[in-house]
Amino acid sequence: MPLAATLDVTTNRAVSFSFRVVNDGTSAIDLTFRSGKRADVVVRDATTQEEVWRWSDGRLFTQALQRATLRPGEQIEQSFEWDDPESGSYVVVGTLEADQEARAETELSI
Amino acid sequence: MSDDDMPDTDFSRRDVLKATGGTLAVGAMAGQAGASDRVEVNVGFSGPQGRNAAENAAESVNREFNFDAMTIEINESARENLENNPNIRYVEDNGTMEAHDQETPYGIEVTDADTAIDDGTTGDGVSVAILDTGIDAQHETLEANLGEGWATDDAACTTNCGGGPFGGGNDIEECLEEWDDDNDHGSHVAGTAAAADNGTGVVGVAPGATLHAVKVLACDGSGSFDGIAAGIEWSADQGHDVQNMSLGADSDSDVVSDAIEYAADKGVVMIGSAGNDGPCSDCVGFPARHPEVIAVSATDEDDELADFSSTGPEVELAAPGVDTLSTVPRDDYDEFSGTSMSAPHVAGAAASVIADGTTDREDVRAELKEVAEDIDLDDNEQGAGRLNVAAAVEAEEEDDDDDDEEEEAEESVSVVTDEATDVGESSATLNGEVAELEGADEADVGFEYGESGGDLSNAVDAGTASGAFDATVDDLDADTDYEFRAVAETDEASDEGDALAFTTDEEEDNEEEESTAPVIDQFDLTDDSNPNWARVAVDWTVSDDDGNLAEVTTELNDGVDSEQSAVSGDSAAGTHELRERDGHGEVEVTLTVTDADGNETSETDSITLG
Repeated sequence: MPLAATLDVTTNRAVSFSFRVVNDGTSAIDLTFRSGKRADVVVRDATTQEEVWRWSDGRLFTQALQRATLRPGEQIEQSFEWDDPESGSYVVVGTLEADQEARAETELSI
Repeated sequence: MSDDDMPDTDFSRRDVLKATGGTLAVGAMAGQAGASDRVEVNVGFSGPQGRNAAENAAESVNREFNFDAMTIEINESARENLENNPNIRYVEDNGTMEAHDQETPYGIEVTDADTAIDDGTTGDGVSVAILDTGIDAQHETLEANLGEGWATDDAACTTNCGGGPFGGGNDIEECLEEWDDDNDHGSHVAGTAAAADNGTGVVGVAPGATLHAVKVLACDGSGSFDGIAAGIEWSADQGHDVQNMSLGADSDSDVVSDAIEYAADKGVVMIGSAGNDGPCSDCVGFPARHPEVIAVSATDEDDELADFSSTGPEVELAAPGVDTLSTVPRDDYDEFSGTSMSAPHVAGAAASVIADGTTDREDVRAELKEVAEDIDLDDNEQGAGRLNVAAAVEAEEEDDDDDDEEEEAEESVSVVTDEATDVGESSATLNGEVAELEGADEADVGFEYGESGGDLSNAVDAGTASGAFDATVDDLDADTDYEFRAVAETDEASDEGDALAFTTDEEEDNEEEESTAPVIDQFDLTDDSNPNWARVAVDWTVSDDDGNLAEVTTELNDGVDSEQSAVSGDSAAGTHELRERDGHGEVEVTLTVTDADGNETSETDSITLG
C-alpha cells in the first residue's frame, strides 16, 4: 500500500496528536470521504486493550461526500486534542476514514 | 469555470466535484465576470453549415429544437457576424432571459417544488433553521432570505482552518458574521431549502422562507454533541418552525436527544440526513433515527437510490441527493452529493406545507408522507416514498379531526391499516403500521376483524411495534368478504386505522369460475406539461364486480415513467401523473388494472403533449 501514515504525539496538559498520510507511491491516489469525518484517532489502554478515548465520539459530521487527490509525495495532516487524559500507558491508532486504507500506531505514557 | 485553475492539491469540494459536475453552465450565471455583455438569442439557421455557425458563435447552447433553430448565449460582439452569415435565418432576442439566468436544479423539478412555487406556495413567512457550518452572509440568492443567525464558540466562523486536504474549510477571506460559512456545506444545504426566486443562480424548494444559520459545525465539518444540542435549543427558543440537520454520527447522544424532544415540544419540525454509509441496511445515523426527526434517504435524478445512502426502518422519505446543484460562498454554485443534500428538500417542503396552513408538526409530517411518490424502492430505502412538494401542499388535513383528547395527551399514537396479504381460503395476513408514536417507545398492536357488514368482533394480537406489524388469522370462511383494521394502544393513547376489506379465496373445487375481471370505467388524459417536462395527468376509475381490486398501473411510452396504486374493494379512482423530461409530442399511456385473482384489464390511449 503506497499510502504511509505517521502519528506524532505531544503531551502538555492536553495531548495533541498529529496524524499525517503521505503518498509514497508513484501515481496519484484518489480518496473519497463519506462525511466530514476524514480521519479518526483511538486511544486504548496498553495492557487491557480497552478503548479509552475516540476523537469522533461525541461529534457529528456533515453528510456530503468529499473527494481529494493525493499526488506522489504529497502529504495531508490533521491534528486532534485529547483534553483530560488520566495517567497510564496507552496505544494510539490513527486511521484515514476514506475508501483507501492508511493507519498509524504509536505508544503513549502519561 | 472559475475554479478549474485551482491546483489539484486544493481540497475544496467545489474543486473536486466540479470535475463530476459536467454539464452545469456555472459561468453563465449572473455575477460572473463577462456575463453582462452576453445575451441570450434564438437563432434560426438553414442546413448544417448554419448550425455549425450558430454553435461556434455560442458561449453556451441552452436549447436545441427539432426544427432548424436553437437558443444560445452569445457575446454581443459576435452577434453581428452571425446575423450576416447567409446560412442564418434570424437572430432574435429571447424574451425570457431572466428565467434562464436562474437555473432550476433537478431536485426542485423532480419533487414538483417548481409546481408548488408556480401555484404561489413558497414557504412565505416560515422560518427554517439550518444547523450546519453556517450560511454565506452575502450570497446573491440567499441574502434576501437570511434572518438571524447564531454560532457556538467552537464552531464560530474562522478564516484559518488549518489548510491542506484535512482542513476542510473553504478559505473565505473574511468572516462577515460569526455564523458565516467557512466550509461550503451549510450554504449548499440552505440553498436547496430556500434559495430566493430572484432570477439569479438557483431556486430552492421554499424560496419565500426565512433561513436562519445555526452554526454548530466548525470549518472542518464537525461539531460536538453539546454544541448541536445548544443549537437545537437556541433555534427552538426563537420559535423557528423547521430545523434541518444535515449531519450525523454513528452513536446516539443523550443531550442531543433531550434537545430534540425539547424542540418537538415547542412544535419544531425536524429533518435529518439518513447518513452516507450505504450500501447498508438498518444503518440510519443519529440524529436522523431519533423518532422525532424525519429521516431522509438520497435518490438521484432517475429516482434510483443513491449507492451511498444509508437505509433502515427509520427512513421516512427519500429526496434527491446525487449531484445536487446549490449555492456555495461567495456567489458561487456547485454540485454536491450526500444525504446532506436530501434533507433540505424535505425541510423546504415542510416550510411550504406550514405556509399553506398546516401548523401542527405531526400533521406536517403526515402530509409530507401521505402523498410521497412510490418509486419502487423498499420501505427501508424510500420510507413513505420520494418527496412530492406540490402534492404535500395540496394534501387534505384529514387527521385534524382526530380526538382532541389525544392531541393533549403527552403520548400519542397513530396507526394505519395496510392491505391484507397472502389471502387464502381460510387464512390471511393482516398488515398495519404505527405511523407516529410520541412519548412511548412501542405500542401494543393488533387487529380487529369480522365479516363485512357486521361488527369487527374478532381480535388478534400482534405484540408490540413502533413500525410495521402483521398478524395471521386462520379461522376464516372461504369466499367471504372480510373487513379489518389495525389498532394500537399505549398507556395514555390509542388509535385505530381505517377498515380495509379482503375476500377469502373460494374453495378449490369452485376454481375461479366466478371471478370477474376488473373493468376500466374512466381513463382520461390531460396535458399538464411545462417547458422542461412533458407531463400527463391520468384520471382513472376502475371497478370489479367481485370486489377484489388489487392494483392500478399507468405507464408512459412503454415504461419511460410509471405509477402504481394499490386498490381494493369493488371500485377505486385516482389520478396519476406521468412525465418525461423534454418528451413533448405524442405519447401513449397504458392503464392496467389487476385484481387479487390475477385478472388483468388494460387500455392504451394517446395524447399530444405541448
